[in-house]
Parts: sequence; C-alpha cells; structure tokens
Amino acid sequence: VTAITRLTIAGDTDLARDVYRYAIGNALAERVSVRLSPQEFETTDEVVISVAAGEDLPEFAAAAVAAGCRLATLPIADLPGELEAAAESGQLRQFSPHFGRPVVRRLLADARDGRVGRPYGLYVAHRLPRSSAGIFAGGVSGLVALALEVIDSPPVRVQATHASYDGSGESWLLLLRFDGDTIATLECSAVLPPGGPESGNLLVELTGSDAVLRAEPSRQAVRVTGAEGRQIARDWAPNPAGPLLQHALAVLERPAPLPQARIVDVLRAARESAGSGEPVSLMS
Amino acid sequence: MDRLRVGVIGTGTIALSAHLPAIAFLREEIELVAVADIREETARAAAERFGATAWYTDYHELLARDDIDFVDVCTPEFLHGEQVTAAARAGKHVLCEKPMAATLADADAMIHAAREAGVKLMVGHSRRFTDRYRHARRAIEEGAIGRVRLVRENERRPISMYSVLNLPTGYWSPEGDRPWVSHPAYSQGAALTNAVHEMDLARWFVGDEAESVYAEARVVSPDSEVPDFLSYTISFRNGAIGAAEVVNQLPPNYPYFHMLEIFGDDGMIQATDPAQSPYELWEDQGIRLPENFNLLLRVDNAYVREVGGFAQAIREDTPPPLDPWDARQALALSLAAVRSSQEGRRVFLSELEKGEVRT
Repeated sequence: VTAITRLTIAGDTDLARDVYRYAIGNALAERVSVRLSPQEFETTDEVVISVAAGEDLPEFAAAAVAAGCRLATLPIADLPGELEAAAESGQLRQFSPHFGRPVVRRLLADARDGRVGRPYGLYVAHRLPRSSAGIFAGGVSGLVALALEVIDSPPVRVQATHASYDGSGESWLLLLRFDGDTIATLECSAVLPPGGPESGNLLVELTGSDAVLRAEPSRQAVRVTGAEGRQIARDWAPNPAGPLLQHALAVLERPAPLPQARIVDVLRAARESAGSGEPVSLMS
Repeated sequence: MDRLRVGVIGTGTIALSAHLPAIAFLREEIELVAVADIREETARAAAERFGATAWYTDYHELLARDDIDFVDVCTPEFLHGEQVTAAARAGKHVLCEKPMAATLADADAMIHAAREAGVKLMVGHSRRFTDRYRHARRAIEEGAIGRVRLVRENERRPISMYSVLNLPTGYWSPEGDRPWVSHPAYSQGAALTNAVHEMDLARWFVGDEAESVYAEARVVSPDSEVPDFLSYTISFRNGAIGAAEVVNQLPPNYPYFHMLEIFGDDGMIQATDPAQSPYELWEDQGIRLPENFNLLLRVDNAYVREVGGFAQAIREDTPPPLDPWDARQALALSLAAVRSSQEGRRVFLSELEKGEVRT
C-alpha cells in the first residue's frame, strides 16, 4: 500500500450486491486513507476496481489516473481513447471480484502450483437473479478477468453468444481458446427465478490431466426453505472486500503482472462476436 | 405370448455393458437368438455369456436367418449406414445404438430403407429412457418452468470409468492397437461419441430445431487422435440456447457425472449427479461416486426401457417411442459441432442439408 501514492476507486463488485454494497470500495478507501465518493457509485453498474498510482511511479502514467477517475460511468464496450490507451499500456488494473472469495483464490493458487497437470478446460458459470441488469459489465467482465488469471497463457480467440429473454433475463456464453489449446467455457446468465438464491451462484471448475479443481463458493450459505420456496437467506462467507484487496495488491506487486489489456481486448472481441456469431481472433 | 427373437450385431463395449444385459433382463419377452462380431472370440464369448444359440463373424449370416424378428445394432457409427440398411432390406426391424450414423447421408439412407421395407427403426438415445431426464421433460410439458430459455449440460468421464466400475470393455481395434473410438479414420470424436446425448436432450427440452452451432474442441488424451474434449453452444430457432462441455479423459477416480440445468421463464430445473448420488465413497484419492454410472445403466433400467419399448412397438405395431428423425437431427447437431471446431466458425444446420433429401 505504501508504494501507491494515489488510489482511485471506481465501481464496486456485484457479489451479493445488497449485502456488500460498496464494501470493497469502502475497504480500499479505508485501507489507504482516501475519501470515498458514494455518489459516483450510484451511477454505475461497473464491476471494476481500478487501482492507479500517481506520476511519481514510473509504471503508472497520469493519464491512467485521470481515466480511472471517470471509469465509474464508462461502459466497458465503449471505452474512450485515453482509457483504452491506459489499458493497452498496462496502466489499468482490473480484478475479478470472484477473487474476493477465498475458495476461488485457493483454486487460483493450486492452478499456479501446477496441481492440474496439463490443463484441459476451465468452466465458469455465474448465475444471477433474473432481474439483474447489465450483466456484461457486471458479470462477464469478472469471468473473463478470472479466466485470464487462472489460465496462464494468451487467449487466441473468443466466440460469444448472447440471448435476451424478453424481460425474463439474459445469457452470455463465451468460448475462449488459449494458446496451448486450453478451452474456457464462460457463462453468465440472469436466469435465477425469484425463489432461487438471491445472491446468485458461482461454479468454477478447472480440469486437467492430473486433477480437477472445483470451487463453488456460493454453497457457503444458509438455506432457508419457506412457504415461498427455497432461497439463500444469508451468505455467511467472509466479506470479500479484504481478500480481494489482498489479491489486488499482490498482483500489483508482481514483477510481471497480468497483461490487463487482454481483459479489455477479450471483452471488446466478445461484444463483436455476439453481434456476428462468429469467433474473433485475439492474436495481434 | 410368443417371445420376439433378436440378433445383436456388434458385441463390444455398449453391447456387453448395456444392450445384452437389458435383453437378458427381458428374457420373458425377448429371446436372444444370435450375435455377430467381426472378432471371433468376442462373438463366441458374448454368445456363451448371454445364451445365444449361434454366433457369427459375418453379420450377413445373422441377417439371413428367418427366425429373427429384429436386430440390435451395437457397432461403431461408421458401420451403421451399411448394416442398418442391410438389416431393413432383410426384413428385420432395427434398433440401432447412437449416434445414428457417421454422416447425414447414411442416416437418411437408413430412414429411407426402413420405410421402403416397411420395418421399424429406432435409434437408442438411452437418456430419453432415463428417469431423471423423463422427469425433467415431464416438468417442462406440465409448464413448471415456463418457456425453456437455456439448457446447460456438462458431462465428465474419468479415464478409468470402465475399469473402476468393473464394466466390460471391448473397443474394436481395426488397425493394430488403436481402438476405433480414438482413430480418425473411424471416429469424429466426442461430438458424436458422447455429446450427441447432450445435443439430443437440449433439442428435446427446448422443443425446437437448432439454427446454428459453434464449438471448440481439442485432443487431451495422448492415446487419442480425435478430439476428446468439446465445448459448444447451440442457438435454437426460438431464441433458446443449449450449451455443454464434454470431456472423457479426467483423472482416475473423478466421478462420472452429467450435470443438467434447464432455465425457463418461470423456474429452473437442476439435476447434478454428484449431489444426488445414492452412494459416496471417500478414499485417499478423494471422493468416488461409483454408483452413478450403474445408476444410468442398470438401476435406472434405461436400456431395459429402450429395448422393451422398441419390442412393444413391434408387437403392437405402433410407432417406436423415439422417431428416427429425432436421432437424425441430434446427429446433425454433432456433425455441425465437428465442422465448426475444424473450421473455426459458426455452422448453420441448413449448410448440412445441401444435397441431401429429407425423407
């Protein structure tokens, strides 16, 4: 933390939005003693935490800070030029909110330790209540960020399918192929009926030659069955803010952090693919 | 009631593990007369084990018998076109293991031959006869979840599935030691071998035809030359989506399971095997759910329903419980996935119909 001279927080996670609203942003702000502007959060559906340093650190430019300040109101699919530049130059930092869940971080650690042997595929499904809005920014981006950290090789191409269900939700399905042939199947859908779990659910499964890693953090919940049907009344998992902050700082302190421009590239390509139905190459 | 007399062509893995046990279970209704397999020892052993009075290495000899009412074709899909057509022309009703064929031309020829000969043809998509899927379908028909929007499936098979579960294996190796199922001259990989199940179910649950398929595939087993890992997305004409990830080569002791989730406008259906296994075995290497595959094969009696349902249709001269057109369309989805993964593009079902006649 001491190495970061300026912190900009723009957006918040949608994990259990009602329960943890702004929790991560607040935790970050408190950790580094900056004032939080809640009004900015009220206007955004983004799921981006942007941590940008000041001019005195050579790896972060002032442009990234300025762009990060405006991030809260920017849709990912329509990035302004300076933010794209920040992303492509590696100055923008995005982290999957799912790394706020200890079990997902454990899966990442085991993957990095080579526990699966030769990776075959990554399957991630994030299901949200049917009423959820903006799941591309609020859900798909988190899955892409997760996949790019878990699969330690460059993405080669992406194909996306989007379906909107006439007011009854929507689905995004991404097939992401990596160099080395690992295939990620990413699905984010707003399909859970009112009787389903309110905070959504998440399943991450990494298959490989030596092991299968399976993380299902949303099973850590108290299930209440009442007259209205089953629902998760209280997610008792630890507040994800602290673990996510730790994860973000750990990534920032790596000698060679994840090339964050790839996240923006994949999201942009996924949007394009969803329009045409055809895969989009990610090879530069 | 006179028993129907059956001949089984192909006595490999699926015959030994599913079809022949089902026929034996139905012995009061069906008599196993003869078996045929290109491998002499395999044919003889199957005949002795399951009580057939004759065995052949040339299936034409089985078809020449006039005391056989129907044949159960349990050979690899690349042989189905020739064998099913020959069986129909010999006047036998035909039950054929999935996938229906290796090409749509073969599938269409099979349908045409059966119609010309006036015999019944059914392809054994066993999951249509499995309780968990029948329950799901019934719930959809009753309107429990409203209009189906998304069918999500994952199929996981450990590399040790057959040996761990002590099931017989008998993959034919037409060239040396390479089983046909992993040989590119004979197999198109998991899209046909396994995913045809998921595709058929998705089409059944959605209740509409597909428009296009996009698939990514790869080879993960060092012993395979055809893709044994497949992930795909189907876009249906009515806007619904079907998607699945299928992998055959997971580490030993990983549980065999098929995860099914169906989301509709008014609700959802979830059937995830590991959570529903009636038996769990925890050991040093982790958890095993050894009853799951047995559940599908035996306890649930899906193959008994499949074979018995076909026999009943013959006896009562009614349409078989599964129309061959459904199997043909499931095959079309599988072939579209193969082409999509090979060409790196979305494949429309209409592309596959060019030059072929819907019968």
